Amino acid sequence: MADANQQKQIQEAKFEIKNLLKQTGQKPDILIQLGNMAEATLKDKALYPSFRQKALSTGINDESDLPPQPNPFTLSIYVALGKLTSEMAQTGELGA
Amino acid sequence: MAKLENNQELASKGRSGDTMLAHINPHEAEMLRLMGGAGSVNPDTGLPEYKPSWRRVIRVAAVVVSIVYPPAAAIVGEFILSSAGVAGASTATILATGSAAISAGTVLATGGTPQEALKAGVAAATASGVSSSVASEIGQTATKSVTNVVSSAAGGAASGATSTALAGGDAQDILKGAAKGAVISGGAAGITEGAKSLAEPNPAGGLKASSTEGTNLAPTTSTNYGLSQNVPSAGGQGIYADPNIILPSSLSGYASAPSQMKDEQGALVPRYTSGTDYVTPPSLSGYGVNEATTTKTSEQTGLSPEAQRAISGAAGAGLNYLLTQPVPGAPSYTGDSGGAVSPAVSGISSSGATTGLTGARGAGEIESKQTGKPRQDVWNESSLRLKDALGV
Repeated sequence: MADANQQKQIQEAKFEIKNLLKQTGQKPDILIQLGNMAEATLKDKALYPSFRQKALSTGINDESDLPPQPNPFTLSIYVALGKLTSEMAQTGELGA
Repeated sequence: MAKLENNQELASKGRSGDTMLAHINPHEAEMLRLMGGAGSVNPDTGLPEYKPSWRRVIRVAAVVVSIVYPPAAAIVGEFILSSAGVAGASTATILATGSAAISAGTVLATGGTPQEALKAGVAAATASGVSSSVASEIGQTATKSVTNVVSSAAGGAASGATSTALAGGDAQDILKGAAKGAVISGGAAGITEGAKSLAEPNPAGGLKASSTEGTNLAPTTSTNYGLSQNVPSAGGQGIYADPNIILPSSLSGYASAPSQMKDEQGALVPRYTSGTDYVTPPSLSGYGVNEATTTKTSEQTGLSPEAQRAISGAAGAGLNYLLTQPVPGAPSYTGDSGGAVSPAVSGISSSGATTGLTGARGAGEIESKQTGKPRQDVWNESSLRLKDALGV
């Protein structure tokens, strides 16, 4: 159970995700999909090239954000983003 | 209208929701960047773009990884250890590695320095219950693995781990081997002791420490360690210390002791201003610099007393030499011992002060009092080292 401070951090992250989706015109599905791919890549690093290609194709991030070699922490951030986005989509926080 | 059509074509190449071209000035560009714009360059047009910054999202998401994704520590730990060629690690080691990586990564993602990341990584590993020595190794390996330089370090880590494994080491030994291999390969340079190097004394820039090249931990991993001297032409400040420096531990004593560079209240200050204290690195003690300093200086060299003390303290006898050089337009120094410029220098000459090092004559040009013949070499060991350091 997240404490008050953690809840605040989660809300802040959700706010940024919402802004990002709104400003880029991206659909939430893309972040959810990238999150799932990142989680799979953490368990099988051979999947990294396809994850990276997919992430770069969105135009949200650049090659400098995703080096050719997998960074496990970066991947776990994608997983967290995907889970947060999924939660927001389910609870209607992303709006219509 | 042809131009407009071209512009529309260019505008269509915008990314992440960018649909417009605009004339803006640098101030406006900075405003856009401060409001969260990426400030990157569009690869198709070569034009600056201010699309929403992904890094802003990363920054806030990094701190919630462990909350939103509880298995992260175990999965990240497995990932790192398997990448390093470590098989059969205990659950404690896996969790310690993952926790260290997440802690270090969070620090880096939120703008922390590599040192802070390493500290956080080691602390997280320690909190996971592994022994402190293993926690240190794990912390270093994990921190390395979450930077953007796994490409160069991974090979070394794998190599180190493989060598240890071939020698029959256990999982922890293999991990240590991996960490050492990573260090050797340069991936953890700047944050581990083994990868640090101390450059040669540089009379123009002060002592300088730089880490092994090849790391992308942060641009600050290779840095002046804080004592860069600017000798002003007409007095003024002598020593500048960058408060954002990163010190290798071998030099940490220079900055951690407040007495070595302090203001009038005794606080460590980023800029040498008071002239009431000065730095004397222990490694320069061989030059015989002591702290007895007189202040009859400005009429001799043209530099302010503060600048002279700062310089003398910082580099000991080496800069004493510089101070005693004739300054165009300034009264010349007559060798009056009552007005000694600088800290006493043993092994050179303490009476008549600096005759042998004034630069007025070369080393071999000074006559022997006994024979009247030119001496072959009057440089003692300390002064030879000094001479080399000064490039004279």
